[in-house]
Amino acid sequence: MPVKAIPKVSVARNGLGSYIVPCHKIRVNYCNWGGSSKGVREILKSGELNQLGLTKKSIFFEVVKRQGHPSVEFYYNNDSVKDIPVKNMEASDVLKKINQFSQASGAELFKWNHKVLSTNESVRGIWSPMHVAKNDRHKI
Amino acid sequence: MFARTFQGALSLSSRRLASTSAKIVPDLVPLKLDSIGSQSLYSVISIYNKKYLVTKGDKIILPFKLKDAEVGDSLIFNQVLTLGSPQYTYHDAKGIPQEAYNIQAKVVEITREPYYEVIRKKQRCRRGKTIPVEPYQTHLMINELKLT
Amino acid sequence: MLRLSSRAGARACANFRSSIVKNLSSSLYFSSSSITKHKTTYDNPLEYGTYKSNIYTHRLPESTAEQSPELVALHARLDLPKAYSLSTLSQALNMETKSEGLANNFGLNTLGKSLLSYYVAEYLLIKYPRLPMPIHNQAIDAYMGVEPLSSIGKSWGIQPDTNSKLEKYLAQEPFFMKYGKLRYLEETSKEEVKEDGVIELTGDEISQIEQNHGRYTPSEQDAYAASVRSIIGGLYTHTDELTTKQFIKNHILSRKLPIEQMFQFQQPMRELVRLGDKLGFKDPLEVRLIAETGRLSSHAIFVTGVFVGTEKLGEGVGSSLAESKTRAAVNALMGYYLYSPISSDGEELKVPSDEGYKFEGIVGLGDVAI
Repeated sequence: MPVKAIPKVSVARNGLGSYIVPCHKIRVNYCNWGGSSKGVREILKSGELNQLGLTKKSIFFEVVKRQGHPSVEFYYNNDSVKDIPVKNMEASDVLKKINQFSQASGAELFKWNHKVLSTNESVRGIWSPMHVAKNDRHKI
Repeated sequence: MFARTFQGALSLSSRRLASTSAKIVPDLVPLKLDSIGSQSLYSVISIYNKKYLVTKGDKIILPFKLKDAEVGDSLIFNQVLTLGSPQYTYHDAKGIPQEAYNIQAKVVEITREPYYEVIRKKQRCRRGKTIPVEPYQTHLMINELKLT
Repeated sequence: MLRLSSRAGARACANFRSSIVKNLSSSLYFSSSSITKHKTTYDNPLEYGTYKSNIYTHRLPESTAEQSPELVALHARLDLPKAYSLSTLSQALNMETKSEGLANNFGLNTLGKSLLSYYVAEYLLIKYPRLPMPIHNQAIDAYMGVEPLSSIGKSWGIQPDTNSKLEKYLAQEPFFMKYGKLRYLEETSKEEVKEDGVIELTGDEISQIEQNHGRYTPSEQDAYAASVRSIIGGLYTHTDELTTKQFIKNHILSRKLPIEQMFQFQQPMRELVRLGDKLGFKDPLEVRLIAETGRLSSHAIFVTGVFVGTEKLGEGVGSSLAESKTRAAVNALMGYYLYSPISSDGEELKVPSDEGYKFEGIVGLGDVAI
């Protein structure tokens, strides 16, 4: 019988053709009464969060007023959510956190002990002892 | 597997003398043909002082944050030492002229590596110094890797 | 875009929501009871400008669409041109047929599908001209089937509208919020108490699974795929073919196709012989031993090659002579089928829709029958 096809799905490579920012939503939870929300309240009042939202046009910013300590939730397109507590942080620190996590993807953190992560086959191929010239072959 | 290497000095041809730099752009047509129109082409590029062997679609994961680079920025590489296909390699230790290739990467992610603590302590001394380590990590996606 | 809300009341109500999705029939577009029959009238069948539909659907005004933060964010995330109106983008996310009379994405979906199938097919045919037809069809599916398109839609940050009217009222959600979300669920399915990991199917859906050879696609996947196609269709309507082609290239054709893993050979040597006949090889096909570690070595390795005269077509490594012969035949066939032509000066070939197109590639000789 002739060759049959195995169903497969193509694999995404973000950044190769076009780049999609992985963080699509940021939710800032704060409390109007508690002192731990002071930093968050400052960035809301001064309009710094507004400015940040204008620079990050592809992220949907949601601000929620609720009881308790403040936190910032980052929603990524791999369905992961990172909940970062920002209690008792200065305004600048809160903005730093938002900047930091909005530049990440939702993937688990890992330490890469190599240089390059590649899904491509090697260009020159893998060395094979059976393809060495006859004179140079390993002799037992 | 053997690879034929062209030394930078041997196969020079004075093409595109009107280029801004004084360097002579090498004629890489054999490389183009052997790499199936740059489809199976690799390159050794320099980022600061480290070398990375990359193909198109690879991710370079750097254990630091690049200065002045934000997510979504494009980097154009101009310190390229080697360009290679399955059977041919072109190497120039001084760097191949930029007119010969087009290698670009996109900054895809700036995140951090997992947090860990380093405790520095000496024998017979009770005091230990705890250093928190959470380095930055930059992901670069090689956008373009082709011979012009 | 920023949005303020007070969630205290809504939290309690939203908590009992889990995730059974009541699945609609696979044709998500057609409502069960349609009172008016859809009719199209025209002055002249060739004058497309005079076509009029009797079912009135209206478009979302741009001012309302601009208020939806998710819609504006999606527009910026995809880097869509300014000409692409937010109203059309909202239409691309709308699959509803009953509520509000707002235009849905059926037309855009069809348009996007046509554009996608053209550009993906064109790309594959020029890149791999000798690919066997079943593999070619599977490759098209790998690029623009329901599964890859739905994962693309998810990666674009499109969120489905799962809040029922009651939940929206309790949360005091502004009415324009839903225009940035993917609307495909019926109101009844939104209000149902859902349980994690359990999907309720209707009789129609069960019969459809049987028709589809046991394959089941959840309506969420269908909806995401439709939204992606519709966004492409919408891009074409607002801009030109060139922009759409570039968009498809950037988002869909930039994905990695695992083409080498898609071949399943049954009798590779036989197929290779037939292929040799088709190509008119004068010399017969021969399998010759190239190298071996030795017949009596432990974990013996044999390297054989398929030769036509003095030319080697393919090489295979195996732990037995038979295995290496099979692998050699497979590698020879792969080498033939995955041939990718380039122009004479080493550049990539142009596709028919490129400017200044001149056919430089090859035309495959067709599939082989065993």
